[in-house]
Amino acid sequence: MHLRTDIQTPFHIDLDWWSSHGRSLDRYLREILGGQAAEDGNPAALVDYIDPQTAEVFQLTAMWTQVLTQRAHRADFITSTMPMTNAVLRALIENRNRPMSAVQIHRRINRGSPQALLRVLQSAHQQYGIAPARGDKG
Amino acid sequence: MQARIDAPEYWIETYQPNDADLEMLYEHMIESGRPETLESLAARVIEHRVQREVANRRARASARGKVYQPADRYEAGQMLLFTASDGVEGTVLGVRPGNNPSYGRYEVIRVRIGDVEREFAAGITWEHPLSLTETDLDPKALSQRYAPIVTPPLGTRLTEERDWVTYGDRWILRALLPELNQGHRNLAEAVIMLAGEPLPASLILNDLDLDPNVPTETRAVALEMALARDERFRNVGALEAPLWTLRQQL
Repeated sequence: MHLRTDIQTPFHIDLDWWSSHGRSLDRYLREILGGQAAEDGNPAALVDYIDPQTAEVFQLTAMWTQVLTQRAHRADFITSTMPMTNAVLRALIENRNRPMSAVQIHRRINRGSPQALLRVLQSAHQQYGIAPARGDKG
Repeated sequence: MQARIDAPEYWIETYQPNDADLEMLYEHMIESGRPETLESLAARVIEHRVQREVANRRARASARGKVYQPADRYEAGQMLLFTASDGVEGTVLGVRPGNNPSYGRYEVIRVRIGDVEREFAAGITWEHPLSLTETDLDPKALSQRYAPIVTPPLGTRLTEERDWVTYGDRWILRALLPELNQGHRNLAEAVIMLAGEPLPASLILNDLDLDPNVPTETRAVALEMALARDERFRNVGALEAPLWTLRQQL
């Protein structure tokens, strides 16, 4: 990665990376849901997700919506014992992949330091396709 | 769906102390200058969060008529105020049926806000936080009910903060503690020796020349922390109600 980044640089999940590497984010989301994942319907189809604070509606996959409504924001969604890259990916999933900086992610997962998280973010591209969100201030 | 602020699930499953909670506690502590138990601090966090929610609901109610409520239904052309989205105003452009059965039957309104179009839920039949009124919440009652639940995660968070210190069951900001030097500890040693029995910090304080403007409870915590670090002293009482004696007297 050649882009110069710092603790204020916003990162997101590069969804193109997942498809170009033959990997499925939906499979990861399904693992989060465990046995409660809904199996019916087209996994790529987008459905409404209603924001719990503002009631604004966003379009996400059914699996992503299910994770947000049933798992995200719970105390055990991001824990202090899970690998840091995993915690970062979950923070971005919870944020509907709106870009987050190391400082913002640190505030959410409350582990390490923004500087340490930046190193995790810089190395998380190979594992989870997490990359700087160019031109987006998050 | 995120739990309501007055539901046990909100505090048991989703609550995590955030920077705003800590900032509020910091300001409160600076103002009071006295140590408090963790459960008391937890109750303050809950009360503050609920009060903020009540204020938001009042603001929504006072906007009257045109304020957006997800339980209501709307038609194209209506002007709405979105209080939970930074108070922006928008015009309804159209209505479509909702497409996620897990929310039940509902509609989605397309709204022009400035130069962008956004979508909001309408006609929902479940209780969204925006639909509640301020009369539904009692900050005092909720803080008493949920303080024991919030206490453990708050304690974990405060332990990680350099500004906070604890002794026994009391917490205070490090910056509020008066400084105790070697002379103070020597004097404390003499007081306990002369008493010939274990003493609480509040009694030892009477003979130390600490700033009387600092609340007694704060001076007591500062003294207890200083004695706990000094090899000459032993706490033979409970951690919550220390009694200090000298190691040589044991």
